[in-house]
Amino acid sequence: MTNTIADITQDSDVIMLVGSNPEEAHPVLGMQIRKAVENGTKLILVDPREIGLAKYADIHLKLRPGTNVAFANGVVHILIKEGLVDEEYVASRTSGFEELAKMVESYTPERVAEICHIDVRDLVAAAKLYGQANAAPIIYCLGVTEHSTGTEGVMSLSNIAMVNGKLGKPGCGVNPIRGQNNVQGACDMGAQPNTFTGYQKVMDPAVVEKFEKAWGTDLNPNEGTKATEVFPAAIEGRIKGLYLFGEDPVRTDPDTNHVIKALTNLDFFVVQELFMTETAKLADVILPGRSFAEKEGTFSNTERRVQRVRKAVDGPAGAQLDTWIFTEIMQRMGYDQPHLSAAEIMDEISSVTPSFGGITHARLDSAEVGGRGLQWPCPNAEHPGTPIMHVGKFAKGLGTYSTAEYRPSVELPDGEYPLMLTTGRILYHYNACAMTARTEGLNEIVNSSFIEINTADADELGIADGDRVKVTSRRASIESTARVSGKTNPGETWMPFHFQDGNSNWLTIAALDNIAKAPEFKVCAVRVEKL
Amino acid sequence: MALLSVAAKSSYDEKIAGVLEPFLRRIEATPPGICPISVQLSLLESSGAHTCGKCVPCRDGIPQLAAMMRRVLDCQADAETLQAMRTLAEMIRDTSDCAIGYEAGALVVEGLDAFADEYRSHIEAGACAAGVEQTVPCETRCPAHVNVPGYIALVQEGDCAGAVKMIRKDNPWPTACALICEHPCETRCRRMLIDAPLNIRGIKKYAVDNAPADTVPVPPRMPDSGRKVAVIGGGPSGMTCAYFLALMGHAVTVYEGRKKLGGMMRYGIPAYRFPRERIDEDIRAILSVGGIEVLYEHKVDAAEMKQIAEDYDAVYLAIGAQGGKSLQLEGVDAEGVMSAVQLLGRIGDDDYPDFTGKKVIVIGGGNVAMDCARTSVRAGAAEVTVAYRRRIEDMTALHEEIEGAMAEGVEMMCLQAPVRIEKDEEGKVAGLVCQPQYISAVKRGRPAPAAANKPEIRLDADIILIAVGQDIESAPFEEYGMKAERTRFCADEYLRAAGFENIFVGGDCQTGPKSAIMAIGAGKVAARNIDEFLGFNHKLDPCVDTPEPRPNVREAFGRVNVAERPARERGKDFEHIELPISEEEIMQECGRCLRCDVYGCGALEGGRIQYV
Amino acid sequence: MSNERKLVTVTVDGVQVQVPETFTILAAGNKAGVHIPTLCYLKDVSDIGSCRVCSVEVEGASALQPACKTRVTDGMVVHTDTELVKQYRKLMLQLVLADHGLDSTNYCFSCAKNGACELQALCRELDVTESAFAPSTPAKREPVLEDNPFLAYDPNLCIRCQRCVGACNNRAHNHTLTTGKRGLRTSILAPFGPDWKSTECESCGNCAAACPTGAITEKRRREYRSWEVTRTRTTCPHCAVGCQMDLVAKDGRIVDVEPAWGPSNRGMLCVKGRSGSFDFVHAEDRLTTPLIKNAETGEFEPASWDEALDLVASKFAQIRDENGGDALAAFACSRSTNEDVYMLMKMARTVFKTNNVDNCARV
Repeated sequence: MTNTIADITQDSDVIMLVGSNPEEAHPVLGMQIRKAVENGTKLILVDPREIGLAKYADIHLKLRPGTNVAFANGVVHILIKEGLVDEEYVASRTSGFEELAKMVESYTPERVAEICHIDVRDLVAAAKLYGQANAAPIIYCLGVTEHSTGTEGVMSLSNIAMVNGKLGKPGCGVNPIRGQNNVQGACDMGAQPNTFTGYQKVMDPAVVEKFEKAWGTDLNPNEGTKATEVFPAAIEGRIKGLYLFGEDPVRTDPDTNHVIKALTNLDFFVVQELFMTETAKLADVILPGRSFAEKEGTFSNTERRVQRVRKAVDGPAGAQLDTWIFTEIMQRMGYDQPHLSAAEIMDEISSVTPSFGGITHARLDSAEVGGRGLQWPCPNAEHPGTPIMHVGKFAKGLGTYSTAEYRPSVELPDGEYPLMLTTGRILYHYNACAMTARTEGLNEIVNSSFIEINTADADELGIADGDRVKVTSRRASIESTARVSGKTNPGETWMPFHFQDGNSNWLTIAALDNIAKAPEFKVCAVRVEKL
Repeated sequence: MALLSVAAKSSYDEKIAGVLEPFLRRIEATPPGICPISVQLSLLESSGAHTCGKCVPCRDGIPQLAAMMRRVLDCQADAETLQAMRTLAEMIRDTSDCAIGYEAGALVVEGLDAFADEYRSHIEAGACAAGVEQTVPCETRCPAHVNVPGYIALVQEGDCAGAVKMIRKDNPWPTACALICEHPCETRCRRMLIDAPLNIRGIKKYAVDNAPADTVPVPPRMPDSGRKVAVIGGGPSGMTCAYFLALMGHAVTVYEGRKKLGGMMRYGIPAYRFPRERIDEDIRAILSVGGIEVLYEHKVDAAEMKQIAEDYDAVYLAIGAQGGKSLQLEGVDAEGVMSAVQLLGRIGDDDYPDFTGKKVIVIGGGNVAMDCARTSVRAGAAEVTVAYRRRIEDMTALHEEIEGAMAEGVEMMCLQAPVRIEKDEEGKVAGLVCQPQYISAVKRGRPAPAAANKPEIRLDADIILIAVGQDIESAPFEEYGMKAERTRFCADEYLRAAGFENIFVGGDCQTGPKSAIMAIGAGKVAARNIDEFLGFNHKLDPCVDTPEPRPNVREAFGRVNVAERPARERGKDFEHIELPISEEEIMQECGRCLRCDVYGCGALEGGRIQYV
Repeated sequence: MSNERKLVTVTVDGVQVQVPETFTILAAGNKAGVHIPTLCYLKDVSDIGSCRVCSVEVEGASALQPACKTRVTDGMVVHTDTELVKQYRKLMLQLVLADHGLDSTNYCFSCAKNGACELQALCRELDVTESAFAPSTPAKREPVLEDNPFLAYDPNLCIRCQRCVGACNNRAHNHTLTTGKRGLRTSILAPFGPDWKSTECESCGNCAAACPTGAITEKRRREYRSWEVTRTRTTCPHCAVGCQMDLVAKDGRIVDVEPAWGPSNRGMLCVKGRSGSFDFVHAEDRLTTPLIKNAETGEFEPASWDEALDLVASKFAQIRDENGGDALAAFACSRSTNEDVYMLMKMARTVFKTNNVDNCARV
């Protein structure tokens, strides 16, 4: 996030919420958005479903999944036409506005409304409401990123904020709500094929040299392969060994058949886990690690806020601290890695990561920080952290615009697979339920797969609410239970991906975003039949 | 967001009005003699019903307080409970969030003080204080305790003369009370539980209209007792006393300062409300008893009072409140300024003023002010204005008097406090200057006016009538040695004048200006107590019996009111403004009587206030 | 938004303080170092002023004022320790206590919140040991609502302070738990009864966190006494909001979670954080020994750490040495700590000699 949760929910006049259902996926943020709306903040909801916040929204653009880029370009078009461009901001802080203006010229409200299946008047009203607001954040989530055009979608949203001068200011910004507790941290920590910690580029020889010096060893100079591309590489045999730390791609990655094929094709497959997951069953070696309650450490939340994780219990005998396991392997593979405490590891992180330079466990535990964590960039021990990014100046200098055009999703409905399937989360479970399914009460609330179908489609298919149905895509067939309502648009269906008794990821497509390589979880084509 | 609705949140809000209205009437019909703690408990429980349930002092405190009060009411509590009640009530008063709570607490605290004796009696004696017992409402509320259900029943049976006799048993002024009584008898009429109080005065008026008092024989006078009693003042109180003493066989001498009998009923109430021929009907009937000697235009001074007290076996002093109060106003000495008492007194002797073409301002807001204003209309005034410091709803005049005056063209200038009277070169009234007021905080139970931040106004005037109250001309009697407090004579509850054996005193001169019926009630009490003082215990035969009761009519009816002549017409003369009531109207009205003398507490021992 | 808040001078029990005019008497008392007892008040959650325990004397005021919601004015002089105030406070508590259903928990013995009950603590502070009042409804025994898997409402213990309602409205903003405004019979309409599934309740438990007594509790609360546990402040392991919470552990097992104040959660938690963030820690099916798959049977067999680690090291070294580091890949868990991820990343780059390292950010 460029801004903080408090900032965007307390100091804003309008919130534009795109492809995000925080009431279920980020409930405590959802509560704060409800509070903001009750306190008078206007809400523009851009989401294909009638989610809970729809009843709080001033304007709900119930757009067709996969059309975010068209929507964003349309908004920029309207902002320009309505004279809502922040000329001074555009001139002083950005470059390439002319190209952007030229590109969006053809995104007339009428055309965009047609692409997005929305009312042209709502689109114009939403653009004006956002454009005329003093302070308005754009908040988005996986409904924007999990598309084959996900990165372009994000950048198109940034276009809106920059054109309107709403980036780098309180109560504004472009704010991704990261999916998992430490997605932000995992990226920050350099678990990326192209960056070391703090987004230091692998392709920058000076960076590589710095790490070689810090770690006292030679490093591979080539940019790596992204996780989602590892599976095709494994199928092709280019990747032969995989070390998987606490993931369950068999359940959470798209096109399960494809994932299983990739994992079984590996020469050697190690899984470090708490439980015997679907993925772990395919491993050659399983190493039992420790949960968050059994270790010291830190998480970085979606606000870039580094907060402490503390050990509450010992955990089961036999399992080992994950850092101990990594250290042992490093040692056994000939690298002289001493066993370090979590605090010592963080000291090492800050020593090699400029944006973490002022972050240590001692400081996080101090009275100065007072349990509020530290938001990076925090370059030194005196720095208070950075609640709002890009104030006065972008990190990279002038802000640049995306001129990406709208491209339809890879797999659209057709005669054979007439319905669009979107997937997502529900309030009561988390991802593959490795944690939540072990709380009986949550299972009592909901514990099995369902598919939301529009009433009109259901009528046509002879499906009633609660019927068991077969859902088929080009990749597989699964069984699930129909929930018939007006929550989704006609022609569109939605499933949670939590439940193994009818996991939607057998159906989803492994089409990847052309830049970030995120899969298109949000759009594939399916057929639904009554069982 | 959710749809808005025009429907009430609770569908009961409208319906509940249908319960509240009878609830209100039930409160109004609270019978006399009820235990005040039971009323306080009902009030507290109503507050409990009102609580929204938010706050501890109100939500939890009121039920606990009510439980304690219930124990007190049931005579199951001790003095400690009383103290705990006070503490809890004060806490509720001091800490509640809204008026539902803090007023509930305040009312209990006030009640603990106001009814301290009753609370003590419940704690110590395990019973209500003496006198706390229900009695028939109309009869109890009437200061003369007239047998109201009795005469209503007689009217219903077609016996108007009987009704007059029944009234006269306690009140020798049936005509006066039929025409000008303030009818406190109606205020707690049980009929309110069903629809509205009976028009008791209207029924009485029907009786005397159809059986004039001077045509209905009075009871026979008892044998001469050989005792002499002097009555000073021939008004309602004095003549009541004289009537009963005479019936008991005593020889009565009435000392009357004016030309005619009747007191303020003649010299204070205009003829259009109480025609002179009608007052004479009552006086003729009273004098027809015999044994009453009247000395007219005979003012008693201190020396004569001394003589009278020596010469007579007993004296009843009932001189009323006949002096007109004035205002300390600049210019009050101007020609054309007079008091209400002066104006109405002259009219009492048939000296009608001529205000033709004049602008008249009346200062005051009581019944007398209305009498002056309406008299001025009839005297031909071009404009009549009432200037009053408060608002119309604060006027002490009866609502129908105010309405009547307004209908006759009187202008009510409210929230105007007189500042000075302007005179012309000849010393005659030219105008009245007033300071506009606004209504402000309640003081001693009434909203009080305060000077408004507005400029003075001036009203043209040729005549200014000051009707701001009456004085008691107590000086000669105080000089004689009678005790008075701010001109009001001191007496005990039996009307025995303080410091004297054989002098009794009652009516306006003892109570201050009040109603005719209170004066009449005092006259009756004085006569009884003088008879007792003289060593007798005379019983008087009313010469009439109360008819057997009919069953209650339980269906609701509207109340029949006494109609008046059209305002346009009646304002031109001094003729009586009221019209007769028809037989069908009065039969319906009598039929509404619930006969509380027979049904309910009236049947109990001690349930009635009657003596013969 | 404005920082130009006017300062006013207030005297509390003789201590003069300067505070912003937006302060309540309670806040001014705090600044002056004067403790004013409260019961129904909960900052940012409920200031409806229902218990009146915080009533204080204000010079010139016609009645006592509730400190929790009365704004200060310049020159205000407040007395919090007069005999009257002290007497009323006790009386107020006695009224509350009378209907607290003490007998229904055998005078606190069987109450889950015994030892952690604010009413109990306040009575102790103010030396209220019993109520002068009888229960308004003697032997009140209303059914406990506990069909919700996590939450229970015992109306017998409810003191109707309505902090739970404030939590649902002003914390969760869910507006599901409401007050049955029935005057003297005012109650809390807690959606935990047989129809709990059809309500909008998200089971977030913010109401239970707000309840001062044992009326609304997380059912887990019955498993421990407050003096038996340790609390560890940590960050919720589910979504990326980063809510702060305390893990409550008894005898080496986590038995509950309590919300804590953090900048992103401001004292709130959701149902997953509150109720679904620790059972898995002690799950029976936790892996407790390294497992190596028998190539012939396809079955996993327990192994020692040395065996397993040596096997992993040698296998990866072999692939690296035969095919180059680019034939290896390592995925980090985006649920685990920064320190874990860093070490995995370091392992991949230093010994696997690969940059094929990623996390599940993309899924």
